Amino acid sequence: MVSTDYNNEETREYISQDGAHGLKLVERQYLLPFILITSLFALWGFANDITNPMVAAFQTVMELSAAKASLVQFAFYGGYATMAIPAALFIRKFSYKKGIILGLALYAVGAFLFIPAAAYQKFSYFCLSLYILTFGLAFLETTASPFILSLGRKENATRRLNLAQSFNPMGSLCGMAVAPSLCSPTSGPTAATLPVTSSSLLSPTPKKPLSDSTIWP
Amino acid sequence: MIRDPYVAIGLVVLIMLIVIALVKMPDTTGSGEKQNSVRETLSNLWHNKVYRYGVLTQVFYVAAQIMTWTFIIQYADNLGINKATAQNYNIVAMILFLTGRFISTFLMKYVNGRKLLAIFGTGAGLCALGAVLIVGMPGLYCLVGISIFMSLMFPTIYGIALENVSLQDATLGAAFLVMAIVGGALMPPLQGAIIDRGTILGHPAVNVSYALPMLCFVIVSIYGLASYRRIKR
Repeated sequence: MVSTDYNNEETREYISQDGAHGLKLVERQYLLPFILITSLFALWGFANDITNPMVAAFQTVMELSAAKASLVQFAFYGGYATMAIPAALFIRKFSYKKGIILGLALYAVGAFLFIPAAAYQKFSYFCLSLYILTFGLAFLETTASPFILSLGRKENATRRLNLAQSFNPMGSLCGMAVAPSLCSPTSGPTAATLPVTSSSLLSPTPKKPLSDSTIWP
Repeated sequence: MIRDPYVAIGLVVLIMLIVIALVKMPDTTGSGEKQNSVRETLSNLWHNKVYRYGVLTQVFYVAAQIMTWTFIIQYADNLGINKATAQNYNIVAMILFLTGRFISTFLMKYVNGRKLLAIFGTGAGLCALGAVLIVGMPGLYCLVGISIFMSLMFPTIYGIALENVSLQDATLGAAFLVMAIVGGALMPPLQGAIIDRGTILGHPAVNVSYALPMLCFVIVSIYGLASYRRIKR
């Protein structure tokens, strides 16, 4: 029986102590899963932060209206809205591990769909790829955080999640550092067909309420 | 080429998929226990006050985070700073955010997470207040400084909300916390509308608009405090 009985006098008292001093944050048996899941946080921080400059690049290349560009946000948050609950039901039925695997698969499919999207230079394909990619994110998001919380003692679960999620902004920073060079006009053979300057990439259209950095694991 | 980074990410994701598929993961979904029906789970979640308010608080937190970061460029622009330079403030904000998460992980060893949430919420609120009131560089510093206090909020609200949720209810519980992200994304256009007014009562509207995230941080602090009181009682 896992201790979820919070009316239990002992449990209550234990949690009410300030902090969780003296408890091991990640026990040895959970170390490898913890490291793997934590690395996922970094991975999607990275992905999120190269997405915004990409969107800006697409916007410039295709001369999109602001209204059309806002479809990008719709795709991004729409993916979360669509998949969070189905993901939870899936995990309930199967396991956290299977949820993560399906999430990663969807993530990869979405990412590879950028190949045809770029080849046809179609904005709708781009949005569709992003939409599917966020299906994967919704799966991972619904899976990874509660999984980290459950990997060890309850008393320091929140602290463990804080540690794991520290790697999310780390991934974002890498994304921020890499993005300008990845989509700079000199970085590829498409320089001639993509008349975008790196400064326009660095500063996406102002006042669009999509964060410059989307950080939530 | 615009697709290249995505192809690279896709490949890395595939590698991770294979590694995770091969590694044995503990099954902590509580599948050994008596299974709750979905209806029972929803009822448990609904009747769990700390969880219910946690989801609501997460909506406001996500809104605050998006607003804080999205409009840094506008804020700097109002002070006559060009976009390329303003981007550096975004990066500094992110570095503070990262540092803050490590600091809060360390502090949580000694201070209860709920209490720390209330303290950091107050800090973020005060920084936002500074960003509202001060027109000039100190105002911008306050705005960037919010990030250090914001750092612990997402995972901490998440953790507190799910603390008293059983393992098998936790997955659906997490789903609603993820949905909170969508809710939070609805709020920033409101701030955009305020900024579009230019000035409000002689004060730059971009400054005034930061009252919105300030309000969100007040809500976060109240949640931290109220949930802390619950365990102290």
